[in-house]
Amino acid sequence: MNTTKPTVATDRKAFRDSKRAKNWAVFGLIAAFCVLLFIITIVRML
Amino acid sequence: MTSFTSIETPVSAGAGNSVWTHFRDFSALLKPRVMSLVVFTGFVGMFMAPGELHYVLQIVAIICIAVGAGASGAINMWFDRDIDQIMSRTKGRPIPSGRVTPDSALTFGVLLSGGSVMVMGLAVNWLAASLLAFTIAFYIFIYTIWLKRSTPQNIVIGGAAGALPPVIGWAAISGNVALESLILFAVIFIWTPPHFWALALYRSDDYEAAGVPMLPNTHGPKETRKQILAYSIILFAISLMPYIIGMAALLYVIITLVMGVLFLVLAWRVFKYGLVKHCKQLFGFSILYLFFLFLALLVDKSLGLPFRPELAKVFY
Repeated sequence: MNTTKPTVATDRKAFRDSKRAKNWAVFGLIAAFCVLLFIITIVRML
Repeated sequence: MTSFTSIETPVSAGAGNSVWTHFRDFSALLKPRVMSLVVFTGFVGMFMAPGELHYVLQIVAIICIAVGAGASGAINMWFDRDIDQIMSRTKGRPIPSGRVTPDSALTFGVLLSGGSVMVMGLAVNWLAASLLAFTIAFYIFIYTIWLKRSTPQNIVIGGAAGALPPVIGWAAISGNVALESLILFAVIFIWTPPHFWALALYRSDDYEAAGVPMLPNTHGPKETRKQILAYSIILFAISLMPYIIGMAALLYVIITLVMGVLFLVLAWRVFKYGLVKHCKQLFGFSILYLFFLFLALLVDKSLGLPFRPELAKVFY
């Protein structure tokens, strides 16, 4: 019997479809907010 | 109100109640321990802000922030009285234990909320009052009523309410919302998830019984521990921002680095081992962490010796 090894693409899709993805999406947004604060700081310093 | 379980019990203390007992019960509605951190961070926001305000009005502003925070806590206890009576951590609160009626708590909270916003507006300025009103409304409607019972991201998004006091304090003095105050907001905002999830990890049975979808209950301890570590790493980076923009000096950097490394070590232990003692250590330390960071800001500015005066010139 042939077994199909999961590929990176299917792993990613499974992650996107999982409940965990929302947590990391929120985390990503918050991290982006921090990066934005940092960029504004640097721009103001120039 | 019909959706709540029946806890509309009469006040049971009876004739033996003294004025002092009532005072103590209504004070407990204001969540004094939460309020103390809110007052402290709000005060630091005021202290760091450029501008002048008569010291009496500064005291008024601090009282308004404290009362507004406490009032939203009272309304939170009114709304959450059904789950508070289930959780061991909260079942001794005045409403579930029958010492204060739900209606009294709601009236108390609404009156104090309205009063604190009005006094802040009339005595200090309307920007600070608007921010205070927004904070109270956010805590009640967005966090308590909407997010808390519907998503494991409740304390992440709801944490914005707890992070706003320095912004209110800053606005009370300067009349604006500056980048510096947003950085103080960001520090508390990002500190909130690891703080509460550490608690939720060892109180997960309580939250499960009450049906509150905290992350350990919905996604399991392993995922929660990963998230705690991820937020702790961002916290370490963002906590250095006050120094980078020149609003803090050497003492702040030293304290932030030392406390930040300790925070990361504790978060790593929670991530790696996840024992109850590790979670308790992280939860307890996180309170000290925030206190010392903001204390360092106070002391730095009190000493009046900016470590990077060239940056201070840019921002003040």
